[in-house]
Amino acid sequence: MSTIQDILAPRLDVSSDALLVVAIHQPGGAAVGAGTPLLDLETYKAQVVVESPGEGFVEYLCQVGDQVPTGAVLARLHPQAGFTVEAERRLSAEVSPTPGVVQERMPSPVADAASPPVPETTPALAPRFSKAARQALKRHHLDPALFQDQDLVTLRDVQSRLPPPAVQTVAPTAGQRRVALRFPPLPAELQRRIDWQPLTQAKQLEIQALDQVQRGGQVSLVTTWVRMGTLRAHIARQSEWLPESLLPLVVFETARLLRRHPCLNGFLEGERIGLYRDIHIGIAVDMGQGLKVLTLPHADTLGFRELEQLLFQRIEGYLDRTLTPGELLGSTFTVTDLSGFGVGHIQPLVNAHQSAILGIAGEDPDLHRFQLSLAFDHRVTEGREAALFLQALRERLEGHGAGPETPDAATRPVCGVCLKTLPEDRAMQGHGLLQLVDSAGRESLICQVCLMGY
Amino acid sequence: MDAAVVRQALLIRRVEETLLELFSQGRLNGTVHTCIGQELSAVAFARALVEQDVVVSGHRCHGHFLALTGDLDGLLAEMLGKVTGVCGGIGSSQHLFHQGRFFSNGIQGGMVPVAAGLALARKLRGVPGIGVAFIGDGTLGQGILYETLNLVARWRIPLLIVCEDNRYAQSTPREATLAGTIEARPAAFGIETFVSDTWDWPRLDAQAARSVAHVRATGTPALHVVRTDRLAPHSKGDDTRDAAELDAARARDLLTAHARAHPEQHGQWRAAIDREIRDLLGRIAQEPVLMLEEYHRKPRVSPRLPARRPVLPSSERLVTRLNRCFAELLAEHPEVVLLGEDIVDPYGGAFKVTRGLATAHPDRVLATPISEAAITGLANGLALAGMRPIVEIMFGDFVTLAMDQLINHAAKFHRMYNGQIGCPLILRTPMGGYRGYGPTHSQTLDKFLLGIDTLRVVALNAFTDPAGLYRALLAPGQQDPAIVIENKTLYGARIGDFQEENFIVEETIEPFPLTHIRPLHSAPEVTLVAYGGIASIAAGVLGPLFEQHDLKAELLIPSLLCPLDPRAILEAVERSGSLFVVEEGSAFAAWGAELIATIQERLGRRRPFSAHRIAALPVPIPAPRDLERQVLVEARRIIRDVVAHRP
Ligand SMILES: Cc1ncc(C[n+]2csc(CCOP(=O)(O)OP(=O)(O)O)c2C)c(N)n1
Ligand SMILES: [Mg+2]
Repeated sequence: MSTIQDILAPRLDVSSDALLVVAIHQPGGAAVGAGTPLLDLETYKAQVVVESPGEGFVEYLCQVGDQVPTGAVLARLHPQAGFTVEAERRLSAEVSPTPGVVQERMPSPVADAASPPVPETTPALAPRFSKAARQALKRHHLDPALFQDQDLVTLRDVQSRLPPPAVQTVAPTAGQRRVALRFPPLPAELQRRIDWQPLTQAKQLEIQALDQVQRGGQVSLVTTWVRMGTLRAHIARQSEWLPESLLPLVVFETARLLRRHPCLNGFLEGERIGLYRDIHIGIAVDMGQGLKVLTLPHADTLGFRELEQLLFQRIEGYLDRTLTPGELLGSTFTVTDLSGFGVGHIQPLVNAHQSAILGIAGEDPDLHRFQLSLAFDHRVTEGREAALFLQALRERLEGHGAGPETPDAATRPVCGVCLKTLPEDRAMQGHGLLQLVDSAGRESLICQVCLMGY
Repeated sequence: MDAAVVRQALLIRRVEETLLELFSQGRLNGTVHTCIGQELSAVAFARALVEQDVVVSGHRCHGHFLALTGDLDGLLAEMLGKVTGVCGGIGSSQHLFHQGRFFSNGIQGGMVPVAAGLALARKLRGVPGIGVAFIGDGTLGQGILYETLNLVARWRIPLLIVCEDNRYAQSTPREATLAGTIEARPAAFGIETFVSDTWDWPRLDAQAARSVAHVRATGTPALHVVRTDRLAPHSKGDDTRDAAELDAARARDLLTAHARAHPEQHGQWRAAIDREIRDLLGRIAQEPVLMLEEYHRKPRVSPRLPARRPVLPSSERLVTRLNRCFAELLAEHPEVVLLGEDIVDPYGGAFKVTRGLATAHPDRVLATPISEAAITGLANGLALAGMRPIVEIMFGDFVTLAMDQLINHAAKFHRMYNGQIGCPLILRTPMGGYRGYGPTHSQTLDKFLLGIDTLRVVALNAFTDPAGLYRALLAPGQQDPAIVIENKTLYGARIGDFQEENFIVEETIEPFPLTHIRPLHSAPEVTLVAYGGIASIAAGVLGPLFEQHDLKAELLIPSLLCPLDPRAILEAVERSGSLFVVEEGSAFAAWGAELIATIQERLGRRRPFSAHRIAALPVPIPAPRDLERQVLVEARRIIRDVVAHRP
């Protein structure tokens, strides 16, 4: 190889806007071969490893913690060792605030806080600083005395005393003097009573991903009610992995139905609409370890048990934090299940590079039904399509819940006390089962042993 | 045979024959074991007993009950499951009770040490009265019987064991399972033995009186073998015995002989008895059955949390505090009795908790043989008699040997006898590892104790005054048993010792306080919960979690594990959104799992939270120091897990 090769930040189909560099695997200048892992990128949904496309010596143009746009040059492969570093400017500079944005400083709540004098009776508390807090104090040249009233001071406490995030105002264009209409600022009294929390990078990326479709401003919502009937009993019978959850069955039916509604399995890009040829269902989960979308590839081709097992494995992976990028990326339609939280109605947000998302709400304990809601990008499809889809889904689900509570009891004679079946009774030299009518007039079967004792 | 004897035996027989009939008509729930053929044994001993004596029996107990108490109405109502039954219908056939004088239970042999305890209580209080325990020949296979024989012989407890030898245990003939002779068994313990049979009434009557008189006069135990025949099946329709053998047995039955010899008189008596039974049944049929609301009421818990007070460090070590507490309790309460292996002076117990106590109270601090099952049973009998026994099981690992007495006896008596009597046994035991004692002397078996309904489980910790806990357990009105888990590592600890700047230690003001260690002002970001000895290790990570890992953590330490009062923990988890349970035993099916499930049920819908268990690995505990620490929980592991799963 004789030319210098640029390694670009890839476009990941979910969130193409921003990626976070979370790890760098080689020392700068190291010799690498094709497939050598160079660095890890994270979107709000997944991590991906960027590998070297060929042989050479790697020069990094980013560092851990940088947020980089798609297509940015992350690294270069040089043909020889000891290359001269061309790019002086590191990528982090490129993603610095865009020109035209003025940073306006808010008064620091700390500096402003004219705290009342501490009554002399309470002995002043000597605050304890964690290691990270001590380092942050130093970094930001903050006076430890600011924390006099606190018992324990962590990094987050220090950060909360830093100036609040910049407020963005649009710079007036040249020659155009405009009087900015200003929303009145928060009263100072209230300002002092705020604990600031930095936005995590994962949250920032999540906001960006959800912004893509929602920013279009044409997300619409349709909902329907599904009658429970004996759906839970049906699921408990069919299920091997998640007998208490409606989710596998909803996903199972959704995946099949999507074949008939391709517009719900696509996305808008610029002037055109992309329709995915495959159906990969993403399941949005947040079980305390951050919001993630678990992907069930080709969900429409899976049997119920297969699908359920796959979902179960993904959830386990989520809980153990062992999910691979492939298990998190590339969904074409999302389902979000908040039924476990007792909510009655959900308005889900459509993911980037998708056109719809299905939400499952909790069961109404009185009316024995639950709500399904479908949010969809009206630029890609329209209400009729969404409504037809939801109606068909409801009918399919209610069909499962239309059977008897325990079909076995109706078809298979068993002793109502010990559940012994006829063949079992025969094997134990029993005389069969007796029909019993109890004092309440209920009929049941009973075996000789349960009737007479042993 | 005088008329009274025949009539009483006939009454028992007709009652049981009626019960079998009722059963076949489906009017009787469960099971019945009749003593048809054996009635005279019950009659003979009841005649020899006085008001202060106490009788225990097993599954075949109707005859013993009727002969002693005469409460036919109470028995029939009990069998039909009516509230007016002697146990409100809860116990039925095998679980009868009468005014603190009659107790039966369905566990073979289990009631023998209980009877010994009932008799010992009489002896300790200096009141007359002996204990009588009826067993069958099949029960000679039970180990606890021999533990008890040894104990009652050595301690000279006035207990008469009546072994009704009908040559069968359910379907198994005696020869198939019994080695040696019955008589040689008591002889080995130096216990006086009497032999009689139900085919020779004058001899049976005389021997019964003699054996009772012997026990009463000498204050020592005796065993009385009564040869007899069971004429009916073991329970119902399940007889596999030879027909010829049964015919021979019927031929020597004295009641049958009486009917043959005096048909007219016998017929009259029988008719009168049948009328009485019929009338009673007619009345009982109208009586109500126990309602669930009467049997089980959900305990009401105030939504208000108890007040709190700061925990002040004490210079006293826990073992000294315990010792002082027991000395005080023995002095204050004449009912308190301490029992255990090696607990008397000069040794003073394996962990020296009872040092000096036996010297001060030689009659109530008793060193026992190595018989965990029997001494627990004995203590059960003491507790039923109103004493306040405190049993020490030398190592928690040995509590398994006392399990039957805990589960099937202590934890049952109060409820199955329909609240008519309490069994406030206290069993204390040093549990846990970090001492290098290896697989069978280091375990945390708490999970096996936590699953026993009605058994209260308390765990000492280094922040709560143990005297307060024992006083709460000894408070009047206690009806159910309690276990106190005393972690071995605690004995040397100083109570309330915790030094971590800008943290505060508080406890709730209630009989079984919960300790809360938390940042002085800040809202905690993670909630740790631990009990027992490991709470001290958990307390030790609060500083490092803050210093090194930038986390403000709190620790809650309950002293009462079961029943679980989750209120304080709920409140904490609702605030922090994260719960870490640190346990010294392994995690599966243990207290932490129960706690997390409880919090989830109460909080789950309102406030999602993350929950993790930090517990021992599920393997036998190895002896080598470092390996043991790795298998058990170390501070390092707590920190690692909390940091890895922090919210
Ligand atoms: C600990 C225990 N094991 C087994 C049983 C089941 N069981 C009930 S009665 C019985 C036979 C008892 O024989 P025996 O002691 O001779 O009394 P009998 O029935 O002959 O009066 C058995 C095995 C039990 N109740 N308790
Ligand atoms: Mg027998």
